[in-house]
Amino acid sequence: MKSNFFRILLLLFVLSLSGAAAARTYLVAVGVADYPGSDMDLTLPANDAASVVEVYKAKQSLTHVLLTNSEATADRITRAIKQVFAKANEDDIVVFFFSGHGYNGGFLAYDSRISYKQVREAMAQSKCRNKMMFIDACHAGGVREEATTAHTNRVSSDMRGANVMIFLSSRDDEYSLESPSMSCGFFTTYLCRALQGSADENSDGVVTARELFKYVNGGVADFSGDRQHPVMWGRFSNDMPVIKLK
Amino acid sequence: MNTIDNEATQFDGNATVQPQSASATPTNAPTKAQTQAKPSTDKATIAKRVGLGVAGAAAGVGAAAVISHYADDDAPDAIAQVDVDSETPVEAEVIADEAPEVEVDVNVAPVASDDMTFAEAFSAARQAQGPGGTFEWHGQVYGTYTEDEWARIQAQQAGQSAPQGHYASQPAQTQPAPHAQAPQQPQPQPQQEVAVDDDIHVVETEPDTPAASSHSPFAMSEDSEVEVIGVMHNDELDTNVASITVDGQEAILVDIDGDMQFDYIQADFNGDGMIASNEISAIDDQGLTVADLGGFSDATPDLGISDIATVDDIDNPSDNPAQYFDEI
Repeated sequence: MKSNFFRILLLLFVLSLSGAAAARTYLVAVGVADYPGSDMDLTLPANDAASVVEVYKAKQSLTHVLLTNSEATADRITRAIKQVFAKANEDDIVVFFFSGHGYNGGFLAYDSRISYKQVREAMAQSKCRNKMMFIDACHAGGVREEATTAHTNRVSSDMRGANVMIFLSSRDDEYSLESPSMSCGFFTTYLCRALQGSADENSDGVVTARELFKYVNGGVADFSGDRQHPVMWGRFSNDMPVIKLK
Repeated sequence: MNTIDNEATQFDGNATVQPQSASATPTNAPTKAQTQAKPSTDKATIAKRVGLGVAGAAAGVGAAAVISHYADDDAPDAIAQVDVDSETPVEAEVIADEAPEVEVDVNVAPVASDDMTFAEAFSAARQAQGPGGTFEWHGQVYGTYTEDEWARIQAQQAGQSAPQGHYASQPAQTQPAPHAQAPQQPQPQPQQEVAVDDDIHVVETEPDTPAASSHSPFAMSEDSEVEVIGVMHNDELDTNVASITVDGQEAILVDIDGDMQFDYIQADFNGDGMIASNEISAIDDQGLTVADLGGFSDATPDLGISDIATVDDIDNPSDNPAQYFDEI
């Protein structure tokens, strides 16, 4: 019996290496602080994007692209999303992060506007079933307004469709705040802390969507004096794992 | 699990707070909508960028450059890591002290001058010569490779299988190599580039996860510690479930049809609290029975099982939440 038993367990552990232990996070992180000219320059978005990369590198098997400032053209961003996320398997996680100027309906790449629709279409090409978008920009909440106008009450015919979580730094009528005395914007600061483990309320080693929102929203609202309120929405379970800490 | 109201944002913070007018200007903190000054060069910011710059590939914001430090025409005996964005080079760490093995033909770029900051001089020289060039600044000669470029060159010189990606335009052996010192700065994680389009720099890294090695099949042997926690029968479902651990890894055996022979084995290998489709395997052809595990436990043990996931449950979760849009 013992040899049979061990043969079964060996099979299980082999499976663990071929499947469960191989899940990766695919990250496209974009930060634009230095826009052409100087009138639109910001301070921290490039740091924001680099910080998010560092947080994920410490915790996850990670494939990432970091685009900052002049590298972050609209064309390069969409190509990076398509090409990097195409590598993901169904059980992996794909994450798009942006920090910089935003407008209702999209955000400003280095050279031109890029709409949330373009980003969503690029992400839709990935077969991955766990998709997340973190946006630290003014009027970030506008992405929800655009989507619900077009797609309210439409339900995907694919019942095995992706979990989609979109976490925005502010409501569509709020600014996203930053301070030169900090290394990252308000939203990204709390996002990074959350992903590093501060949001793991039940200390189970996994930060869920609900835990992430609770920590970041509470922190940003308090820190901004109730002037900025991150918004999370999409199609996902509250217990969806965002990042595994150990 | 909670479901999502299809008509409302799932999480929207404090709903009692009146939303601000779009024209309101925060008084205490600048906003992304306002013009901001260039990034500061205070020490805290510099320190942060040195830390962040390890992952950078270009000599831009937050990038750290590996610069060889010469004394006149002497061969370099050390490499100091500097922060490109600092006003003066910060010798954060002496990386190596080996003498170079390659004679160099130093071509000093005329564009860099002592009137520039170090960052400006570096950028000017790199723009004029590209990676592999040199420039003189305040009496010292520096090179224009970035840390990533230098690491790749070293890998090539060592005969390692070079990952695909962005390299210097000329092969390392034909380049003047004033940077012949091996940058011994330890990388926090092994890095491998995966080429996509030429202008998109993709990097793959692995975290420091020593726990992962415990799941290697090579670590399991006849000496592995196997413990049967308990075996129980569920009268209502007419199923049998066994809880075991192997070297501390918990696993569940399931006899789904009640024939006393286990059909599935499952384990939460990645510790995410869920059993994914690749964490459960059919074992009905192995002939492992309840009797093989010593029969049913005398008392009903607490197997810690709150839900038995079947293959159907995994493929078609019943709590699939409502959907907002289907483009993703």
